[in-house]
Amino acid sequence: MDRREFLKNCSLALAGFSLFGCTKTETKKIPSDEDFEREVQMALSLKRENIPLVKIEMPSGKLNQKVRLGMAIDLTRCDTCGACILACNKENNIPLVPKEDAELGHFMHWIQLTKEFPLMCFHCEDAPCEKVCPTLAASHSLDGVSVMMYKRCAGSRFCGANCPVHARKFNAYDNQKENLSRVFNANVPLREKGVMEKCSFCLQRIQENRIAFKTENPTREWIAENFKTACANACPKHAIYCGNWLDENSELVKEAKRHVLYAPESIAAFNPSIVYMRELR
Amino acid sequence: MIYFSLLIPGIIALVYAILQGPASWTLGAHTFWGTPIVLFVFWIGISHAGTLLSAIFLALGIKLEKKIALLAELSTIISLITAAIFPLVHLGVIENFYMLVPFLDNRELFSNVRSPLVWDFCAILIYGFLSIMFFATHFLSLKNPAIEKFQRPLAWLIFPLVISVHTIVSLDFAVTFIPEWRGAFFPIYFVVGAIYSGFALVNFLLIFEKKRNILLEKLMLASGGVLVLIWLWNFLLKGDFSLRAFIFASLFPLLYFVKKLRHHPFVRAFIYISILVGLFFERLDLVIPKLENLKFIDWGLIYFSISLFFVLYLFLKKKFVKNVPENAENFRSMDFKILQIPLLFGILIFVLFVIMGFHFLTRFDVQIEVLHFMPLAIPIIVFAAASFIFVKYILRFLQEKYKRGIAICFVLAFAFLGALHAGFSNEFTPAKQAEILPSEEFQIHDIWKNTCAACHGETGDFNEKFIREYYPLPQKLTLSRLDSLGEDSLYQVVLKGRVNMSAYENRLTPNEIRALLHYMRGLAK
Repeated sequence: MDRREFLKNCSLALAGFSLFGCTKTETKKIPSDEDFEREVQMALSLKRENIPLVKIEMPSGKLNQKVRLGMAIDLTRCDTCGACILACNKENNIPLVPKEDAELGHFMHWIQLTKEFPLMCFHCEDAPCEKVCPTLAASHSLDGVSVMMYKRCAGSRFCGANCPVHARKFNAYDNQKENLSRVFNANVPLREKGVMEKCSFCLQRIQENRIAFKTENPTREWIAENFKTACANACPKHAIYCGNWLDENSELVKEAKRHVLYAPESIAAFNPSIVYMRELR
Repeated sequence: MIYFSLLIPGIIALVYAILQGPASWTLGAHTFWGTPIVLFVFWIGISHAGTLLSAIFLALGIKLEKKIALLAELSTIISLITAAIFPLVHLGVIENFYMLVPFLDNRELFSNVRSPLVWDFCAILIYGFLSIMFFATHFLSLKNPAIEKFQRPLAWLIFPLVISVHTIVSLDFAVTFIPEWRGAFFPIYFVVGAIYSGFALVNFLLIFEKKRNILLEKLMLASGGVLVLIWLWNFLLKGDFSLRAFIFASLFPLLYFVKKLRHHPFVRAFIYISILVGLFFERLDLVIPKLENLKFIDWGLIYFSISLFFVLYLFLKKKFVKNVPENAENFRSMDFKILQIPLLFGILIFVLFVIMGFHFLTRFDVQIEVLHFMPLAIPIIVFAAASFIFVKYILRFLQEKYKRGIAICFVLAFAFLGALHAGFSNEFTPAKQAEILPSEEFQIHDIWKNTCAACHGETGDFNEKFIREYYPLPQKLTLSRLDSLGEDSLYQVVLKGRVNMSAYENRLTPNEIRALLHYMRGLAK
């Protein structure tokens, strides 16, 4: 190889390497409100089949337990409009999913809709998902909420396989990098790739409620009065009663006493905190 | 060494799969499980044949050629290594794998011994360790016949372990609510499937050694027959049936019964491969029900596992399996006498483990019973007993250079345990302030402008003209002052008012107040 050829090859190689710089510069695009609304509309068009319901007793507490948070959903009022899903998505910074997943109906939404009622984590007292979590990332809070510690989650997805109603969702994508997530609520962290998530019963709102109550009444015991989750707040038909099952004066208990209570057949044995109400007792 | 290059495409697929995470391969719709679990179950099944065969045969005193036994044990170790990679690939957050070890970390957290995954993790780790130990003892006994005495006690320990390991793997499936995965027959179903595929592979490998063992072929066919019956059971119970598994793993092997064909090595090789393919399809249809299309990465991972097995097999066989004496002497020894003290030691270790688990798990309000520890009983007792035998009896026969190697391994093992104890960072990477955008209908900036800016100014500096005219100067917004007051008391100030500031109780929602406080903090200097 003479000098001329050597220089020629060198410059060619240099030119070749410079091509590596020609990548598309990505601009960070944060999804707009419409994107989230569109996805909820899509979820509404892909409702799940109904699952059979069975009658259950009113949820009760353990010895010395003062708070067991829960919900009763009035199915005579619910028309599955999907307002709760949007409110939940914004409250909990739930990411969008790529198009391919959305077409299959695999959304990250914590609330899913069947043709007759909304379906989310039932916060079972005897939760099957918590039992199989190898790291105890899924565990139960003292307020009777099935909580998820994202940082302790190793992403084995065993809990996802062990939920009879498939309420758990898996973060398969790096949502921030792929512009799928957006921070609506600074109090809720964005979940990282590889962890499971599900309805947290608006944990941040529980905490807010407790702090607000304790600042005003430092001596009284907190029993979650006036606590409302984002979905209960957003429901235009006021079909969701939210509160403390162990507070006899709460609207939740009063309403639940008047109605016959139902839960999905596959969940009823695990003592769920979230129940459906249909006809009057 | 050139054959190591065969690994390259597989490694590329593996690295891609690890970097991209579970989204890169096909996931079951509701279970989120995929090919890595299929490959794990497949290879862990294969790993059963080797140790099972040489340990149980040895324990029961069935004569087996030493070379066949050594090859089978080697294939066990290699398929275990291959299998062990895939649960890690499967995890969403790979660096958190250490949280599965029932071992106290420095946050005083213990893993959940109620979970089959924890049983699985321990059983496989211990099984791998014992397989290596057994192979090492076997290998050393070729040079030093005095060690042979301790091989049978080890074999008796491995006997229950082998069966319990695959039972535990089957429990990963059987305890869930996926209808296709439920069934009380799952443990025997998995064990039989494992023996079937494992013997098929060992028989396949023996073809290349120009060897053949009729007993192994018979055992393979017998377990195949049982497996077909269980498939029928499964079909009648749930109605799901894997046609491709049936064709490959039970129709093609029927060729074996044609006398002329079975003496031909090519036909036998075809039968063995067909069994392996069939059993792979069986696991695939089990883990990802109702899913046909595999992605490119799935094929990459499958290729990786196969190439890894054969490359390691060829490499290690050259190293270890040479000059093996032809005849195997059936050694009578005092197996059970040697086992007494190690077993007591193992039981002691298990009791200590249960006490430790109880102590730490009950502190977290986890409802735990002794019952939940029982699946770990066999692996832990066997592990402690085998280590005891190895350290007390076998270690002294080792040459100096091996001893040094073992010492290094111990140091590394303790360093590893230390790393597990320390754990990795558990800090959240919070979203940067710039990324936190309020939604369109909740413009916190507008709320500040409408409600607060009249006095406090749009940027947090005072609207001095207005203030001087009507009120005394309000407090300056400094970070130190805001922090000394704390969010909750500021919240109360906004709610109830203070001195000249009026109450905003009915004009702002609690959430808006919190948001305003965050916004104000952003303005403070």
